[in-house]
Formats: sequence, structure tokens, C-alpha cells
Amino acid sequence: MYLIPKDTMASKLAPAWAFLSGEDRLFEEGASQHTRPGEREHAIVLPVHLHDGRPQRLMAVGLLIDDQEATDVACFMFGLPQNEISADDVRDACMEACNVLGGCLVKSDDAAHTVEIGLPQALPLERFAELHRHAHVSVTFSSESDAGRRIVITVFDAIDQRILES
Amino acid sequence: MNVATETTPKVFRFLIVDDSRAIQAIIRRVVEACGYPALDIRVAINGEAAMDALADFKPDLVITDWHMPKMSGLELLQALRQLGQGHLKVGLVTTETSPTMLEEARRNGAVFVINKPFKDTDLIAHVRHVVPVDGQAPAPAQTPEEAAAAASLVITQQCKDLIQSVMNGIPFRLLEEEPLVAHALTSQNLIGLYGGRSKPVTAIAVLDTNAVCILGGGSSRQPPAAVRQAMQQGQATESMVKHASQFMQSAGALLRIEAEKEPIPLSRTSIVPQSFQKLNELLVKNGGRADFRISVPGYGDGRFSFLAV
Repeated sequence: MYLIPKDTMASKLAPAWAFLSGEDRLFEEGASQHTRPGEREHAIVLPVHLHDGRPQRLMAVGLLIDDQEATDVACFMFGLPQNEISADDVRDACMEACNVLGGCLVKSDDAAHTVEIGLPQALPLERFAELHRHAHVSVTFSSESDAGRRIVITVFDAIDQRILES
Repeated sequence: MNVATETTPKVFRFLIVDDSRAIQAIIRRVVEACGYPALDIRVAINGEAAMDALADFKPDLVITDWHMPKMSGLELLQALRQLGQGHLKVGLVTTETSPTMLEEARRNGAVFVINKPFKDTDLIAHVRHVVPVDGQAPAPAQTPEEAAAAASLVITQQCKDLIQSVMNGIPFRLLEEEPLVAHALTSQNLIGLYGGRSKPVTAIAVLDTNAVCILGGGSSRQPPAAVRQAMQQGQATESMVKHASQFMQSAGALLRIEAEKEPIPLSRTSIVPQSFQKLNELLVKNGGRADFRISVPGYGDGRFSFLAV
């Protein structure tokens, strides 16, 4: 397996989120009510290449994050108030959030194969929805605030490289 | 003619290499919290840019990410070795966890590897071990007995939980800080006296102006602009002082003083200018202490300490 055991994932995501946002949140396995991206969300994907003797496989960890949630993360990481945070800062923080959250779910110490973590990339929302339609979802974790702002982390199995390229 | 010579503090130089500006900012704050007297921190967006920067910048430590476009952290380590720069200290901060890869990094000279997410205190410990603040060799590790004796007066996580409960959802970062010294106090500080059953005064809390503004302003839901203004003026408002005092009151339950089994009540608070002799003595010699730095985006940093009498 290239992933850590599912029953330990939530306990890894919580401290990763605290590192990114300074906020304690619980993550629960299972799809949030709507796994498709909403209009005011950011979609980021962390590609993970598996070299396990079979033809090279590509999986990915996807992050869907509400815009206000993303802005709060950027404020915390940059140490700046919201009015000094640019769209580019939010994008940078989202990419790193996907890197840290995705990175903590991937198990790299399995001798049976080599796992190569790629660089996170932002996806247009329609392309993220397309990824959702075509890829097999291994596991989803979500966390929703009282204000209805959500974070959804999805592990996609065996994705098509072209979705990341097109 | 005698010419007076000024002693300038050694400037500690760091190069932070990460393709994320957000992570650069976090690492910069951690380095700033290490207690170096003077700093020159530069950043590079990947290994290639780091190589360019190193042409005319000789840092005490390079702190680099692993996975970056153009040139990775491992490739940076290898390039430095090949170019005869292997003496440069390089630490890695990364999501990479493969033992094979981490061993490869160490073989190529990495002085530490720390995984993201990391605790600020862990990175501070690594950085200060590799680049000692006083320029001396790192002190030997404490024995378990010494560590127990030096146990903090307040457990950091409990303090963090308390702050979280009063800050109305405002994100903050709490760092364990170097022991507070008299000259680091601000012109107005909030002092709280805790009166327990064992002694009239068993402990004191000291909040510098910024900590009063942050904790008092945050817990009374004041807008960041008002908090920043109070910090810039070095003068907390009455409301901030009142709410910061309430924080002190709640913190009485966190004080770990053996003779006291119940939460220790706060008997008095007062604003005092800079320091005074009794406080100076207590900052140097006390029955235990806990020193913190609180950092809030948009507000700034403040310091506070608890000292057992």
C-alpha cells in the first residue's frame, strides 16, 4: 500500500491542518454532502507516482478548500492580516496546504514500490470535477466548520496524467 | 587619544529555500524566534536560485525544502558537495518520509531533516543545535532527572488550549521562548500576583504590552487595526487590560506548583513600567518558569512569562 492505514489518516490530518491554520479541526472519513467543487472553492492536486514494477501508475491527493478558509490559511502562514493578502498568496498557501495534507497520507517506506511525490498544482474547478467523474476515489476526508465552510481531501487512485496536463 | 570601540553583535545568516512563499514566511518566523541577537535572512525559490544566492552570501545555515521545481533540496546538497561547498550546513524541511531518501540526504551532508508538519519548538531546537546562539558548542543533552527538574511551570499545550478558548477563533501561534530578561520588557507591562495556600505570593505572570494587546484585544473581539494601534503606541486600552487580566486569572489553573493542589487564584494585577528590583531578581532566580511568545497574523508578537516565587 502506498497510503498510511485509513484508520490513522484523520489523526495525521488534524495536526497538519493545525500547522497550516493554527486551528484545531476534526476530519471525518466519508464524502461531504457535495464532493463536487463549489463556485467559491480552490482545487489543488498533489500527484503521486508509483513505481512498483508494473507500468508506472499515477495517483493523486486532491484538496478542495473554501475561499474564505483558504484566505484564513494564507493569513496564518504569511502572518499578515486579510487586507494584505493577495490572490497569489492564497494560491501559494493552498498549494502548500495540499502538499502538507497530501504528504502526510502517503506512505513512502514500503519496500515493494517506490513512491515519488510530485509538485502540487492548482486545477480549474471544471477539471477537478472531471477528475472526480473519471478517477476512482480511494478515500475522502472532510471537515466542515459551523459556518458551513469546508475542506475536502480526496485520494484518487490511478488517474489519467492527461487530466493534469490538459 | 583613546577611541571608544563599539561591540557589534554577530550577525547570524540564514538562507531559506522553498518554492512556497508561505513556508518561507513560517520558517523565517521560527528563525526569528530562535533568539539570535542580529539576523540576516534571505530566501530562494528553489535550489538553482539558492546556488545563485550562495555566490555572494555565506549563511550559517541553509534551510531547504526537498521537492521544488528546477533543483530539489537533495540536488542542492549534491551540487554544493561537488562544488567544494560541502562545509555549508544544510537542513531539510520536507514532506519526504522515505527512509531511503532521508538516508541519501544525510549521506550528502544534511545536518538535520525535519518533516512537515513540524512543531515550531522542534525546528527551533534543530536550528539552535546547529547554530548555537552564543557561538559555543551545543550543550550536552539533559539527563532525564535534569529534564524533570527543569519541567516547565506551565504546560505549553494547556496554555495553547486556554488561549484558543479565549481568542474567539483568531488564529495564533504559541512558541516556547527563551527566558524573559529585564531589558526585554516593554515600557508598560501587566503583572499578576497569584496567592496560593502555601504562600501569600506563589507565582507571578508578566505580560508585555504586546501580549496584553493581543490577548486582551483578541478575547474582547477588538478589530486588528485597534490592536495594532495600541501595540504601536505601547499602550493597551482599559478593556484590553481587563481581558488580559481575565486570561491571567484562568491561567492560575495551569500553574504546576507542587504545594498547591487547587487552581491558584489571581490576587492582584497592575500595570508597571519596565521592571523593578524584585521582578529583576525573580527573572533571574525563581522556583520554575514558563516563557512564551504569541504571534497573531495581522497583530504581531507579544511575550509573556509565568514565574514561581
